[in-house]
Amino acid sequence: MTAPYLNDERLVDLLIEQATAGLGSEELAELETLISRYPNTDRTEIERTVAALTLAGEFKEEPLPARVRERVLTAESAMRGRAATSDLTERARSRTPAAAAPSRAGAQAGWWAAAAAVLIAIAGWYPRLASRPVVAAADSGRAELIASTPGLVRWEFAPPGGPAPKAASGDVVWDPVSQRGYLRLKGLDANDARQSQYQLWIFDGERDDRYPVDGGVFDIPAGRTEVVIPIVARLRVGKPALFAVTVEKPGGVVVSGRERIAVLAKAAST
Amino acid sequence: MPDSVLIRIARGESAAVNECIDGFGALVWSLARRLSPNRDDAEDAVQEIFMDVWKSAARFDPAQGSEKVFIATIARRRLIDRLRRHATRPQFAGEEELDALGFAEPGTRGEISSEAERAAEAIAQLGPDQQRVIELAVLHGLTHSEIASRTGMPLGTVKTQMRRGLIKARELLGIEAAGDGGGA
Repeated sequence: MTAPYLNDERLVDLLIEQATAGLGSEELAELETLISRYPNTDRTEIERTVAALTLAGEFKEEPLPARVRERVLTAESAMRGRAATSDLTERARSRTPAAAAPSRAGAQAGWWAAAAAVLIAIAGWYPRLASRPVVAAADSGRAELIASTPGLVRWEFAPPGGPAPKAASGDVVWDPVSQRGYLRLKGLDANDARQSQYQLWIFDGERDDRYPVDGGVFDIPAGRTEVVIPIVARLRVGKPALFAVTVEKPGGVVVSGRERIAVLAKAAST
Repeated sequence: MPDSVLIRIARGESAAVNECIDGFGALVWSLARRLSPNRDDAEDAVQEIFMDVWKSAARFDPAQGSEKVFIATIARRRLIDRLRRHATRPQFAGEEELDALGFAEPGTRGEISSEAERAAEAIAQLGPDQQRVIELAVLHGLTHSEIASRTGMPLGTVKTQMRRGLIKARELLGIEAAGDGGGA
């Protein structure tokens, strides 16, 4: 049986054009007007027909490059991580009224310049994996990890390019065996999670620098001078070389634009 | 019969994500390469397409078509949107390339999916003009006006041939309307 809308030549022309080359705004508006005359119309019938016919093209399918595959997996991981932890983030937000966005980060020109120097060779940031976003303080867990892990490694946060007006500080402890660690930060401004969140990135010396590990997003509650945040990487980080915290949109990003780097920590001692 | 990979993705099974990329990565990559202005853009597009697939997986209905068609629909939609957003055109629209790529004859390809064979059979049942205009639109992304210019057919004829050909192909392929007013 032919659906009624298929007798409307102009409507079908527009649906075909939309499915094959796309429509401009005026044509799109016209399409919406026309299709509204046919309630319960499946507007994807033509589009699905076009997609099905595409499969008859004589082009050979090329294998998906491994690098692209990894990008897709990374993005999926980040998407799933954000969805799974949005509730945690929301709860943390409700417990700790957010203060102003971390605007100080934008004023620390020396930090930006130093960060840019450190990262100058990096063509583009694509996180290799996403870990669980982190939101809660974990002082006792950090202390327990330090006490029970002889092979623990530690990195200090320090401005890499000279003094900052109000330098943030802190450290990272990381157990390469259990792949667990904690981020301890002091002096970072509280963030308004509705506007921005902090995001951790881990550069792995055994991997391509263009693909830092996404360490998840976290918030700095108002009134806290120090926060301890657990790091849980779902894929192995072989040789951490640099930790970076950026300020990103709520929920974090898959690819950081690096415009707002809050702190950096390079491997210093083991 | 095992659940489709898309249904398992919709249920949150992480293993299905890898299976989906293994099973359809080549299709998506090939479409992206053909409908993107360059390789870098194609890589970005692939990532966006698979994100769209994950988000849309719950809408997949096996009764309306195969997973391959579902994913190809999403891929084409995203690729066309990107081309329009960036006001770019894929770099394959030269005469030589137009001649080089066409629809396969039924039964002429060695490793071919059942979906591709069905599509080839449907195309083969269309008239020559219908095949030509659909080929230029579907495989090369040309607009009605561009097809008229390329073929010398009047614009009205292009539209008529396209419309009749696609409606017939829809019937031959058994494309069914989605129950909720939309498919992929």
